[in-house]
Amino acid sequence: VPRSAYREDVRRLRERGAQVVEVLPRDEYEWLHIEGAINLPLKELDAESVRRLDPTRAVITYCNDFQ
Amino acid sequence: VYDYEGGKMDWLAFGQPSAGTAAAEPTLGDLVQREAPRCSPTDRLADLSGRMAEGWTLCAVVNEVGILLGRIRRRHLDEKPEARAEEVMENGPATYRPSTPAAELLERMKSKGFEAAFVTDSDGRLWGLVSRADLERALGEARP
Repeated sequence: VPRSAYREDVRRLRERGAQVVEVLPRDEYEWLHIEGAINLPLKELDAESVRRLDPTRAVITYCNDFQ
Repeated sequence: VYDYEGGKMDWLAFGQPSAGTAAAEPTLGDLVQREAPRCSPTDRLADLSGRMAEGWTLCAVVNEVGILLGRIRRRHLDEKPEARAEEVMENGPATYRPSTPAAELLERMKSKGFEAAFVTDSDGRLWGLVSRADLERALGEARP
């Protein structure tokens, strides 16, 4: 179960090497995203796409706002 | 796995680092003048004249944690120099986020006819003031 994170948590986790994942569609990601984030659109999420992530590092997912 | 509750809008609203095609466009966070004058609600207007030197037309009234409460106009200083800021301030001025594109606010300034605006984060904490002249300069639309 994902744990809630707030802005300060995200800043701290990024500094420690966490992977940041935007789950919005590709065009929204390309428009603007958190620096260093990768894009794994929710609708395309499958075992193959998840393999892009390093299982040894924390993962932070986000979408547009409080959804 | 963590879920960032505020998401992208929260991150951008607080001026955090971003990338993408829109990241190259100037935003208010790039242009805001953070040294803009500010005062507390209990300050006397007569004491603000030094802070409003050098052409500032507005002074932000903020509480003890920097949240914007209202604004003082330069003319208030002459009209009621002995008043406290909280007695004459205009409450709840319109504010814009650091992530707002400069072009978007400039268009609004042109259509609504105002020359300066406060920039705050989503919690209402003051970043500073941005002027129409700053936006026009940044966007290459400087008036003669």
